[in-house]
Amino acid sequence: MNDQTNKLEILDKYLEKSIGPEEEKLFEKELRDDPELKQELLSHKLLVDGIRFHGRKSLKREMSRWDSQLDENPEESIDQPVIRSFRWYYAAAAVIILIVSVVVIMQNIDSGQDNIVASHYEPFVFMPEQTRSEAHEPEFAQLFQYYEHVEYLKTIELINQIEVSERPDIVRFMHANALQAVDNFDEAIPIYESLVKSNSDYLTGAKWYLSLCYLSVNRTSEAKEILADLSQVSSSYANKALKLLNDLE
Amino acid sequence: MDNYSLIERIRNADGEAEFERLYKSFRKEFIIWAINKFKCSIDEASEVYHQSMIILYEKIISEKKTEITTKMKTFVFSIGKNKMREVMRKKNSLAAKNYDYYTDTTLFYGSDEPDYENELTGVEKSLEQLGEPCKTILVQFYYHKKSITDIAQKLTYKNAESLKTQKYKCIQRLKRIYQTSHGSLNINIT
Repeated sequence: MNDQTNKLEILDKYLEKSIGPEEEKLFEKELRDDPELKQELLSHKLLVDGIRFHGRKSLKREMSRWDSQLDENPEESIDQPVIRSFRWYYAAAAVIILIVSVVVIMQNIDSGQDNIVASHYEPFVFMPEQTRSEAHEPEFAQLFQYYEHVEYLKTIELINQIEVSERPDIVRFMHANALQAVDNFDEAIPIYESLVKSNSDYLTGAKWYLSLCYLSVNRTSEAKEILADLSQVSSSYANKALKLLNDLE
Repeated sequence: MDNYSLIERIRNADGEAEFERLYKSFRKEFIIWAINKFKCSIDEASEVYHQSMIILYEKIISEKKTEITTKMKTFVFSIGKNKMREVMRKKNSLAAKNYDYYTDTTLFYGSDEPDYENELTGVEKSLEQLGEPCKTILVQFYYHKKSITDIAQKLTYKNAESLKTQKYKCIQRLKRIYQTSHGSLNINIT
């Protein structure tokens, strides 16, 4: 039994990538030499994936149960003020209605634009050939990996460790994209602006994403100006820019 | 409470209760934020919240403690925002095809390979037939990433070694049940 439980432990460690480098080498050699072991590993992987599939669904069911608990017993309650005077009450109510209306109208305007931005925004995808040719430094390779895996916060953290003067355009462009993805438009905008100004290789991409950033912070006229400019260039961004301009109208 | 202690508490043997508290503390704010920002329905916001919290949970239990450096709330809202955008894009591009959010499993599982998903559903059914304590042992070990020692203590096993043996037997039984109802486990996954 011990041999079998040990073998299962190795399969688990290998699938979890928690196996030591020496043990991994040996195990991979065994896998190459023994097709039955390889089949056993694949079968085990299916069982483990199936158990995780079930675990995730159970957690989701549990969350729905927590939702019901929250809906039944909302933990926060708003204290009601004591109404001393009807005239005061009506005046206050009128002011509140006015404020709420203005807020709702402003929110609708903002969220209308947010929706347009959301429906046009897609994070930039770096092509593998870009990552191969431009990411010579090991930290750049790690950057691409983080970015590809939608780990924007880690991407930003890692870029922040690189001297500003040592960041090539591709890294600056990725930096701005990662910042935009986490809604940090204030920091993304100047990076895009400088890429546009320096006529970088990422000029059209930078213009497109800059226009979306401008829209997100309600700098609509500047966004429209860039979009009108983009719609004239021969690039895949021209059509996107035209469509976005139409939606904004 | 800082990230480090929170992560440690969620990883502990009784971490589910801690995670439940975390889940409940962000939910209201997330739903209001998503509805305001994306003009989505409560159901959509709630679904995306579930997905975001599952991603957070799985990250906490499977990664090293240093991996989540931002605040939990920032992390959840950042995942939620990207998920919401996926929903919006899908809704817009598939509007003509009567897109139904609730039947689109690719949004969450990230896979559009129906064959593999069928296989996973098969394993899940076999797991249901397996019964207790095997089901709990396997789910606690493989999904919740609890240690053999923690599971042994929780299920009052004599020691970690006897639980290890029991876990082996459970996997073998699960394999047999799956093979009986779905045929061979000879699969080709790369």
